[in-house]
Amino acid sequence: MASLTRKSSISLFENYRREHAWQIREFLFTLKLLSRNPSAVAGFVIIVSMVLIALTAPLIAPYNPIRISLSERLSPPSLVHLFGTDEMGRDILSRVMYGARISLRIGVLVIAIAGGLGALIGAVAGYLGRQTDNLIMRMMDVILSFPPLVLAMAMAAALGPNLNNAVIAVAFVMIPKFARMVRGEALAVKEKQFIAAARASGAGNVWIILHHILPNCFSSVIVLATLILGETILIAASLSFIGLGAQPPTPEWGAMISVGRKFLMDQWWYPTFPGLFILLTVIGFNILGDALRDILDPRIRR
Amino acid sequence: MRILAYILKRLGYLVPVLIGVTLLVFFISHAIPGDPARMMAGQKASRQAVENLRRSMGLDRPLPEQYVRFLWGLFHGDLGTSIRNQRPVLDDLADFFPATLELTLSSMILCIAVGLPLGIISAVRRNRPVDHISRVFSVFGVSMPVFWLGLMLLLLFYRNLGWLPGSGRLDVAINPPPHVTGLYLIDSLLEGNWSTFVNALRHILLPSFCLSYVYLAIITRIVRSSMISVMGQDYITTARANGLSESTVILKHSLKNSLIPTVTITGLSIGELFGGAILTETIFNWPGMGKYVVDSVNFLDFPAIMGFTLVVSFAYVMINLLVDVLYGFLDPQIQY
Repeated sequence: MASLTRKSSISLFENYRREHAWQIREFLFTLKLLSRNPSAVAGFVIIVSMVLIALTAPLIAPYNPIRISLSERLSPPSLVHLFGTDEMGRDILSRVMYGARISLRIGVLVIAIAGGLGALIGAVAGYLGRQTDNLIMRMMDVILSFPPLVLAMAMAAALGPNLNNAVIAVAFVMIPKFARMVRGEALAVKEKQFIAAARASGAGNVWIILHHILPNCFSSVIVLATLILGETILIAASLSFIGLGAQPPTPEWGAMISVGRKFLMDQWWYPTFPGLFILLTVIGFNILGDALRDILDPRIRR
Repeated sequence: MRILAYILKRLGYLVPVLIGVTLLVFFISHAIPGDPARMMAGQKASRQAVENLRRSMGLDRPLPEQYVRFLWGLFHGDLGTSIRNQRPVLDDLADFFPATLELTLSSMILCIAVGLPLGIISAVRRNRPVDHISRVFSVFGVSMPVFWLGLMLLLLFYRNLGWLPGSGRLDVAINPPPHVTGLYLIDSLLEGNWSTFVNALRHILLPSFCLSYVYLAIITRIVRSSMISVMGQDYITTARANGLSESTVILKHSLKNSLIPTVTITGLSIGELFGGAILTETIFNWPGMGKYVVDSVNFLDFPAIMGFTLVVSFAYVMINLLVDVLYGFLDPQIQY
């Protein structure tokens, strides 16, 4: 029995490989192109290091990020505290490492919410067309009529200053970007023959959108998500900086800079290192995203 | 005449968008949890006081009626009253507007004056060292947390080198020039007061560089990529084959034709500069709308925050309209 299941699972795998041979070849080719692109590799390395730092922060951070040690307050970078300490004597290196967890989590959460909702909205608009499309896209235009940071700030202020609300606010601002792109893709996909075939065999709108339109937009959503992640992290950090995101003692980079700002003139290391990490992370996402877009664009490819 | 008709048509399209903008701001400020009356009255106010305030603010009415009142107020220039200082929000914003305008305009000039040549050089010397440097410069630009850049600039130019002042629009000892436009740089020139002008210029350098860097990077990128694509066209080869000098080919034939995407991005950037101004003004203690709104955030002064949001988004929408109209002048092929 066991061998039978195993056999069938192998044959299932073989079947998948045979049926998707083309896609698999494309995917491997893309990977090959990426690995030859120095800036893509650099971006990838930066992101992987940040993710590793975030995942292993409790193991590799030299101190507890919220441990207060007043005798060591505001000490400059040294071998004991590589990045110095803050006004409570907390180790800034450890706080920056824990900050990676928060910032990356915010980025991923925002992209998951905005990407999911945006893709769904865009697919519905593109597939149903006519009045629905018109109404939805005008609503997206309204959101795009605000500078992103301004709208995110207004929403976060209205919802109340905390991290979850900041995530909701940034996600809301990002939805139209995904919706617009997926709508464009959906307009192209819905003219394909397999959609007509699905409709002829009795599939309803919901089924078609979920099983045919959305999966076909998946790869572009991933590219856009990589491109936008950097901007997302920047906006979220800016909200924390003006006091609307993570609230200090939380070791979030923007919030740390917000407090550290008061110590700039005499304790330069306090706001400097958290900002350096924001810059590095965002650069990683931006150069990987740019390379990915160039490689997947058939006009520039190869 | 045609262009006038086009502008009118575009203004017509604008109406639903602007109504949408007011709806969204109304929704954010009225329908989201949180209680404006409670905010207004303060945490210690009695339940009865809050209830009275709610009635006098019209918050006990149904939402559609509240929205109509809100719109009516807008038409009469009423953005509500600031909780912090009990002044009309519009008056506050009007006071702070010139400082923000001066900052955004000077940033815009910096963006174009540096971004355009940098993009052109990058495109002409593609894949040479100059190009690599300018690309690194622009990757840093789009990835830079504006507020951190401001702090680093202060650290270097104000604290360590002592070359430039670190806050405000003028030294405390200097009187502002007589109010004509509200822009100190222009007003001091009009007054003929050279030392005030120099002082104002020294004060604006750091904030306007800080604010412009992101958009500088974006504009450089766009100019570079659109120049590269235009320079690959056949008519450029023809122009070269006809013996035109390289500078004519680049400046007259290539640059002119790659301006459309540049103008689009520049237009979008002007709007976004208002967003960036929030952070820059806070860092450099620049007394503009951005600093005003951050102070309002710290007081949870909702009418002020929402008023700022509305004004900025209206400006943003208008600038985009202006950019669309500009296309026609740049590219005669575009028919309205």
